[in-house]
Amino acid sequence: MSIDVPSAYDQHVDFVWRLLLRLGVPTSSVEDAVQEVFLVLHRRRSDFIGASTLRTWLGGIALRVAADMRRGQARALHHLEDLQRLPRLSPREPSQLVEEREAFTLVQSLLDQMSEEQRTVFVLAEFEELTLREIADITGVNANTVSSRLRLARHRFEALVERSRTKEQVS
Amino acid sequence: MNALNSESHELLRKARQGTPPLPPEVRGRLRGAVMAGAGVSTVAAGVSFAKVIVIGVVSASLGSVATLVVTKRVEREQPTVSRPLADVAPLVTATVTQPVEAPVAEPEPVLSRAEVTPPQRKVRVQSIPRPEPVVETAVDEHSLAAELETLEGILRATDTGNWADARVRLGAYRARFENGQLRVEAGALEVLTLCGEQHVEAARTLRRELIAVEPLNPAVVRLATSCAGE
Repeated sequence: MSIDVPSAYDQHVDFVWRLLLRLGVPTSSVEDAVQEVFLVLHRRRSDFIGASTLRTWLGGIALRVAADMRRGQARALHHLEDLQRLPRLSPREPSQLVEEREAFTLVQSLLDQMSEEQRTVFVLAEFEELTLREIADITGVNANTVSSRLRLARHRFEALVERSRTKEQVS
Repeated sequence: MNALNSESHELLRKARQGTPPLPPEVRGRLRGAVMAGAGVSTVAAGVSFAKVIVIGVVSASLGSVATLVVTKRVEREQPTVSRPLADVAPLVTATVTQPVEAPVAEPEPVLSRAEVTPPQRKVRVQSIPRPEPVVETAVDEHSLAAELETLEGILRATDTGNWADARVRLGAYRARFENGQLRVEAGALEVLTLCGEQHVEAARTLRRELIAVEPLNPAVVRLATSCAGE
């Protein structure tokens, strides 16, 4: 089964971009990560036999790239890079956008407090709305394990939301 | 399988909406880079990923014209390690130096020699000014990490429009890092905070001070898009 890289890029780049961001790849490194995902796709295109969809296959590649990037780069440098985006923030943004941006930032910080395994299934299920079967294909674990991890991840997320709200009320 | 409670569900719904989308210009640039890396014909892929720089050198004394065509693949025109998300002056540029050696005895036009230096990644730590122009010393990583952490807190506050929190954190930063290595970045955050507090004149004044200290600092450059931009 052959893969047409340009059309794969056009169809799935938004999915890959969002997924990498939500998996915790710093904003400043997402472009590199997207590029790496599609280059891996190109290199390994002959391995794709169609057992899963191209989207889930790409998701699996993105998971590994994200994990490598998180491990391979110094935390301090990430933070420094992220600081460089600061003046993009505009205090004059409409309130709804601010609220959504705030929600995104908060959720990212909550996801940072989850284990990598829980974060992965949570992001794939709750953000990308993939099925258990698709998540199992991407992560390489069976559907029962995915289900169990997802249940724990949801509990964890709810607890983090609750804790965050409590802290906010106290302060 | 259990579903999320309504509070978490609502938060996720907003976070989905608030996820930064892939900017169109980044999509196009990345596509070119991926196709180039994959060895896919850019014509077939429907994009142009090559930049052609034509330098015409006119040697008036000999009446010769040497034209140098440098085709540079735009794989990573600007490494993302320092890529700003807004369109601002690039941090990293490719330099093309062209020492023209005017041919004196050569009857035919000759190509000038040129060197194309690939873009180099610049780590901003090195460009942060020291308090005094003293002999270079090793950066105290622990101190820098602490500074970063503090600034990150300020950034979160400004990101969410919590200006009072940002103000408190800025005060804490100043108290702890009087001569911090990231004080220009902290200054940029203060400009944003002043904007959020509606102190436009103060924001402009501070921005001008920052420009005087470090005009090419990306954080300072990007303040042009804030309320302090003039």
